[in-house]
Amino acid sequence: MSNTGALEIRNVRKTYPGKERDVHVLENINLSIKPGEFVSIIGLSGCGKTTLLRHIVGLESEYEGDILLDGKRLNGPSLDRGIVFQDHRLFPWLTVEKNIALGIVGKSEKEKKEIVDSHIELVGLKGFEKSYPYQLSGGMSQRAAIARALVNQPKILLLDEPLGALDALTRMYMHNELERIWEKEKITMIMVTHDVEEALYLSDKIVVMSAKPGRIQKVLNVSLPRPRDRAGHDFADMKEQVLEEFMLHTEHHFSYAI
Amino acid sequence: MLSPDKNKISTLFLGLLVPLFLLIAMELVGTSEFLPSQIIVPPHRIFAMLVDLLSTGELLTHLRYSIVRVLGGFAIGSGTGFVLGVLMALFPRIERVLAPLLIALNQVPIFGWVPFLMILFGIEEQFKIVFISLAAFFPMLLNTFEGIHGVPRTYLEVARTFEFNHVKLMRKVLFPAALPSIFTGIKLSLGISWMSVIGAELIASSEGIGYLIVWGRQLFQMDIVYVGIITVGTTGYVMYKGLEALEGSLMKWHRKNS
Amino acid sequence: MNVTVDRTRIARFAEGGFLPAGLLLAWYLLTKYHLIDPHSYPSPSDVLNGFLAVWKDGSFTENLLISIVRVCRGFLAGASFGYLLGILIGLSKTADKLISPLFNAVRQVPIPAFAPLLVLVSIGEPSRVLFIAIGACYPVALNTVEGIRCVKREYHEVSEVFRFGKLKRFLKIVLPSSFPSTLTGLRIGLSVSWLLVVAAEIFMSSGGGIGDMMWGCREMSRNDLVIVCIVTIALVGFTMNILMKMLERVFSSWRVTLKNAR
Repeated sequence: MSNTGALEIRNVRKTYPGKERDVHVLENINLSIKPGEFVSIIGLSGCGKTTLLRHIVGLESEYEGDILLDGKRLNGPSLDRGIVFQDHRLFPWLTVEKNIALGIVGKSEKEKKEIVDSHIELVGLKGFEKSYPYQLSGGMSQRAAIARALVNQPKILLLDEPLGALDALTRMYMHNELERIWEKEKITMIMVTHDVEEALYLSDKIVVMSAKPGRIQKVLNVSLPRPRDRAGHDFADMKEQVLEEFMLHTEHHFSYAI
Repeated sequence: MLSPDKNKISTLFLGLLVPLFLLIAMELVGTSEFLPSQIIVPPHRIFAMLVDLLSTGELLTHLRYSIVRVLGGFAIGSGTGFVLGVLMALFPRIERVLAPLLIALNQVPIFGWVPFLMILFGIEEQFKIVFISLAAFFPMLLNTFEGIHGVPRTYLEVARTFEFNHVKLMRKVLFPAALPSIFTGIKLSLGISWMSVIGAELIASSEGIGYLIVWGRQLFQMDIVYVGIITVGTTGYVMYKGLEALEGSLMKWHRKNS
Repeated sequence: MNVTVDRTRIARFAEGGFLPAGLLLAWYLLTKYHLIDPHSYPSPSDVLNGFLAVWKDGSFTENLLISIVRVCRGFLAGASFGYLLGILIGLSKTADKLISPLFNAVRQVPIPAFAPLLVLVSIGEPSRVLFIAIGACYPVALNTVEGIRCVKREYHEVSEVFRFGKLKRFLKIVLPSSFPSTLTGLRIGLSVSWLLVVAAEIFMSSGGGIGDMMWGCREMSRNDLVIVCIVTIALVGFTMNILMKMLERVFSSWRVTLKNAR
């Protein structure tokens, strides 16, 4: 399992035709992600991070350059990539277990049940199998969404600001849960976020993107030992480093203003 | 614990107050021959007539005619409306071809069709069924179309990431998501069908509740007219409530969701 | 670039026009070559000639005017009664408890069922107007109640902060903020009224009006004129609906600005 899930992004460009001139959403994106890595893509809104993620999952498939998964160029969505959206997108008319079972194909009922049960266990939703989404809290909904995305044992799990709608405390709790799930499943995870601490806490690698056009500004390796200590000195240092990437821009901005 | 019950009882009491007052007034005015008793019938005579018509079985016979008609017309009309609504929502070309004609036809108020349909179908059973079908058709068509057309794009994206085929997309996403709207269509459609069956029976019929009312009028027997009106109202109400109950049991997720 | 846009537009228009045009052509050909009984099925030119005839002798305009005056009367009577009823139920809980059960019970009866009753109560125009008024009253009342109940609590709190009196609160807050909902009720009420005018003129005929004319033409087997009447009825209904929607848009324009301000 852990030897697949390598993602190679080469010279990816994406432009939308605009009224006066074309909008460059993604420009010259190069990135390689090793199997089993946890990578965060971070940047201000409008930097194209979500667009990049939607290309990796295959919801958008018109682009220049190559996105290769284990050496094969991606073309449209496939079961080898799962995604968790910011709005959990559980189907309100299905119970938790049916939502999770939604994506399973080619399995007998018995196998299906086993897969669903083990994933409900994995995300810690035991006892809520028969609940409808409206009966769940935000955090629980995201757990269910994560389980739903994992049932087909994808090589890569993509997370589009999965915790963005949660309150700060629940979010910290979910960080531990995500880390636990990642360590257990040993799959590649790529998360889009705008929360620096979240990225630092979870990632092996942080990709900082900048806007107009959307480009990769810097790739930072995070080698802090896990589980990480948010209050630790090294953590704070790293955080400073990431924030600096954004500050650089503001300083430029100021120097022009003066 | 006590006060909500008390509240309920007082609400019930207040609600019955006005109808009770009206009934007593009708009784007094009707028996006093202050007004011609053809107009204001004392309620006890209406009740006696109701019992009489029930015991001879006349009322139920007429009611059965009306119900068979409404169910037949409703089934044909709403069934056609549903199928066309689905097709138009799924295939834009079908929508483009059919929409202008259907929109134009929908501008004719339902009773405006009566003479035209009589020319085409005579005044017998065939006319009534076509008339009721036409009445049932449009609300079902519009609500089915809107329901499927309005399925959020976000749900469709989930389906794409799981590579749903057309059948699965229809069964697991489009249909359940459109169900609330479809049910609105069913309720509207049945209500209009019921109104139309009564209308058709008023115009041309020799049996059915609508006919019973007209017959009472021709005999100047207001008590029969009142019994007819009460029966029509009650039956319509029971049908509506039945549909609501069905809706509630089919869509537990929906009511609380919205 | 623009050319292709226009082309797809034209193509779409053609797609939508294909079926109606085909039906018209079929109608024309079938009647022209006498493939269907010319007596029951008039040709397009028969319909046109029929229309010109009733237009020239004035009976078309006369009947149309009768119907329009009738719908206005019934609608105005029903809508104003419905509006008052809606305000009463919306504002007072006691009134709600007293009136709503009866109101809801009566509402269960499909309106055509009232026609024979009304004929006995009063013969002629008042019964027709009353018949229409009943139908117009429900949607206006229901939407007004809905509108009043949905007045945001924040607005009420504002009025408390400013110490508005009851009357001022009603005039400055309740009425304006519930009005868009009432307007929706009015639009539905008007289209129900138009439906019921036609029904009334059929159920309680011989009072003139476009429905009455249509009914008479059927009895005289003037099927060409029946078609003229149907098209007229549809066009009038369509126009009224458009006008009401425009009115709604004008009156609820502040809603849009409110949304933008946020």
